[in-house]
Amino acid sequence: MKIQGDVVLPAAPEKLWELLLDPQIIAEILPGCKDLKQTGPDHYEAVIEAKIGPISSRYQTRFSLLDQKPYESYRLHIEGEGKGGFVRGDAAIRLIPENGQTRLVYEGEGNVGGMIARIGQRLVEAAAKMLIQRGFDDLRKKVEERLHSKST
Amino acid sequence: MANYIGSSLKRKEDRRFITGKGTYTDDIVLPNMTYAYIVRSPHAHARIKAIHTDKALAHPGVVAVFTGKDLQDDGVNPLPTGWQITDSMIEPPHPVVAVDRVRYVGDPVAVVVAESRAAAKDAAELVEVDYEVLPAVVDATKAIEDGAPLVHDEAPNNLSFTWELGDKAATDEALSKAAHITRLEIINQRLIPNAMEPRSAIGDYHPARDELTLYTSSQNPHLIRLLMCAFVLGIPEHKVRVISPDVGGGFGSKIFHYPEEVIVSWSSRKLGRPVKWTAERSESFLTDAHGRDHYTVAEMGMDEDGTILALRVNTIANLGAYLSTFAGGIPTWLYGTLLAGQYKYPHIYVQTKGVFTHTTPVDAYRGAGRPEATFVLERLMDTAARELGMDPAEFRRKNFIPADAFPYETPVVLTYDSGNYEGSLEKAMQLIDYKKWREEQAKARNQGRLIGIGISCYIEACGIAPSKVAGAIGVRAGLYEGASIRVHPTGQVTVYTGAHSHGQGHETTFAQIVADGLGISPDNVEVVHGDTAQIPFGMGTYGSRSLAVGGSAIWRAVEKIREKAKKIAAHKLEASEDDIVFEDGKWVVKGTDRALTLGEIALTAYVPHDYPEGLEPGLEENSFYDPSNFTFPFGTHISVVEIDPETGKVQILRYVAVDDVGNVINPMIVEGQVHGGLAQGIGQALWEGAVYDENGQLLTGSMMDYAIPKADDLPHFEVDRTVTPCPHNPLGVKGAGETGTIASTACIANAVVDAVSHLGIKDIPMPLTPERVWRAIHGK
Repeated sequence: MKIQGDVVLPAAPEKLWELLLDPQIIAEILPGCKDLKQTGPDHYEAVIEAKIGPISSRYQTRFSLLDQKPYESYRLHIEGEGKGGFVRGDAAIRLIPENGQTRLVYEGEGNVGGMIARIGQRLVEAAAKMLIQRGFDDLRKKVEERLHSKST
Repeated sequence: MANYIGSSLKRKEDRRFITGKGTYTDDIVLPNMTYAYIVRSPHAHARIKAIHTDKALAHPGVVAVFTGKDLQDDGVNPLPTGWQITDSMIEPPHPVVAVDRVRYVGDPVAVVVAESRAAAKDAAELVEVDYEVLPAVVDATKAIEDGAPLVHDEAPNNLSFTWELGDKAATDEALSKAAHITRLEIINQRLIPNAMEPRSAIGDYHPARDELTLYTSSQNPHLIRLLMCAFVLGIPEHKVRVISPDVGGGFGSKIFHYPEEVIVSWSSRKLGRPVKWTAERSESFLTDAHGRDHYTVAEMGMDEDGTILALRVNTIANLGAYLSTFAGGIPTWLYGTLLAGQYKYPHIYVQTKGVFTHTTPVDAYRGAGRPEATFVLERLMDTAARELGMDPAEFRRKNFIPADAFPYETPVVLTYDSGNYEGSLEKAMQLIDYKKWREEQAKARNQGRLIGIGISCYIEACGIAPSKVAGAIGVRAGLYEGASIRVHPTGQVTVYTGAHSHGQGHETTFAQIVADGLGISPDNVEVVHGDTAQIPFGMGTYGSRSLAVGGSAIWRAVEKIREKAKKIAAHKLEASEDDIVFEDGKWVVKGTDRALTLGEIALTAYVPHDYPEGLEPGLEENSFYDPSNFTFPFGTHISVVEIDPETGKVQILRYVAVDDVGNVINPMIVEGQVHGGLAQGIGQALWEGAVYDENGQLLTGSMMDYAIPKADDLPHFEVDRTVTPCPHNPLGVKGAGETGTIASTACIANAVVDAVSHLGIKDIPMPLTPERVWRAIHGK
């Protein structure tokens, strides 16, 4: 399953960068994320609860923020297992400055296996898009909050 | 004599089935029973780095957790395959439970045994498996390319075998001289069988007696016992009893020896307690052997007049991850030998490559090779007729093997014993009023409506088979059938058959044969099947063989009973044996009214106070029947469809099936078999199809995404027959279980393409869903 899209965030890449790598922000914007733990620099573990159609699943996931080029790009790698099967994803994220704001472009590949793949496949793509969209909406809000609280 | 043969007796077994009183494997509850749940690979291809079972073992109610290594260390051998296709066929081991690598989603990796099903399932979630995920390949045409991920290291290019039949040079030459060549590229998509009853097995080992009973939802209990005892577990056959009680459908998928049968048997021996496993529907989708999955290029050459000169067929068959029990034979011998169909082909050449992929193993599914062959041929027939500007019925008629040409030897080694192809085509065309529909079609086209007429003329080779032939083509088994008839002192009869009923109605059909054969009512005949402890030996039910082979074995036993009864009757009636005849259900002194019934003779046999010298008491006979040839059912199906140009939805307006299955014992049962077969064949044409994503995840893993036909998707079936008795078996019967599936897929596909051919459409790949048909019509 191909994942791609973009979102405009109300801050320049330089300001955005550290927010994107902030574990607390990640925990808040990752849909269904519980118990985020840092296991090393840029490596994390988390429990993610996902519900797709009639199936809800808990995944033990590991994710990493790789190939970091500050203010420009990085790669998000995630893999996890749960009773619904497994999830894995790999996305390249680029930050493009745009009039004092940032266009965040993501492009990657996501795979699910196990019961969700067998039963929920036709829901998966739509669900993934929805979850990603929700994550970025949350991110935009967080960015606005942070910037707002910093400026006051 | 009451003629039960030929009458539509209501099925004896239906009293228990329709009142919910059947006993299926999962209904059996044994004292002290445990339940197994199988941890299966979520990956199509991965290396198992480690399996952690400690958390699962600590779960309340868990009795044991086993991994593949436990079985391997205990000497459990891999599952065998029963059909060797070529001398150089590559047969990689098929571990019962994966040891270091998993090769398809659903491959077993661990077994949790617990006091309850729920505890086993909960604990299974606690088994942690570390996988190193490896690249997978699911499409057989990609799997044979250089550099494709290997399913088995020992099979380069994932090739198990390359098999060929026919004269290649003569075929190539004939094609090079042909005035016209019709070429089709065909994908016969993968199907998932979906028997109503999911597979189930119970292993029940008694340590003190050292005896194992395996209950299993199998079509083939004796063969399962043989394979499991002799090849997999290495335990003595006489200490093992296999019972296949009521079985709720199989369609081929329950012929094979599956890992779970070994798992419950071995676990029960380890634990000294019964172990039951029953598939969840989701497991059935993943692990019941799938069917079909061919990619084929077919070329047929004709001369200027439309006379067929030659046929060349190249097929790539997807075998899945491992060789299932009869996997190799389906896309080869049961496919290539059928490629002459009903036609005079001077030359045929067929080549099949059997290819491993990271998918569920593929094996026989209703029709098994023969629907695939019929699909190739009948799509070619329609396409060629269109290209030559001939009516498809006329083109077929021109190339039929004539009725006076039998026995007829085809270029692909079969000798058809009988046939009347023109007869069944004629009858089907009359029934549907072919001419009228061609006129309707022309009128409809003028109004922008899309009506199509599809013809499918098929031949089937079934009633498998002469053991001699089976041996010559690499089957590692004989293909006879056993039967035994026990006449009780009161004259009631128990029949023991090696055939196995899982929906076919044997308890009724076989009772009708014996009733007529011995002059009693079918109510006084009990048919026992599916128990190795009661039945001498059996080869099970598949390939439409039960009546032709199993029924013939029963008839042979009837004849033996009659012979002995004649001796007793002669003695009692004080007549010469030569003067006793079996007439109107009695043993009669020729030309007199002196006669004895079976009951009177049986009583004498068991209370032999007044008995012939030298004759053994009792009345019980065994028989084994090995046929001299396959049987060859044939027929013509014609359908009319209308397509909604706006939505692409196909509606079947008429469906006529004219089949020739030889003599018919119970017309209602035959009709029921034809209906079921049609539903499955039409299902393939219009809706069904297994879909994997490129990583080997089965996307059609439930009935939400895998569409099997429902009653209201199907039309009223108009079923009729011609009767050309089989000349070489005592009942003149051929087998009726698969004809519907074999004929109908091509019939519907031909009708759909016929409806849109004037739009320049030559072919639409199956399943012909509204989306695909719509895209074809609208060029999108």
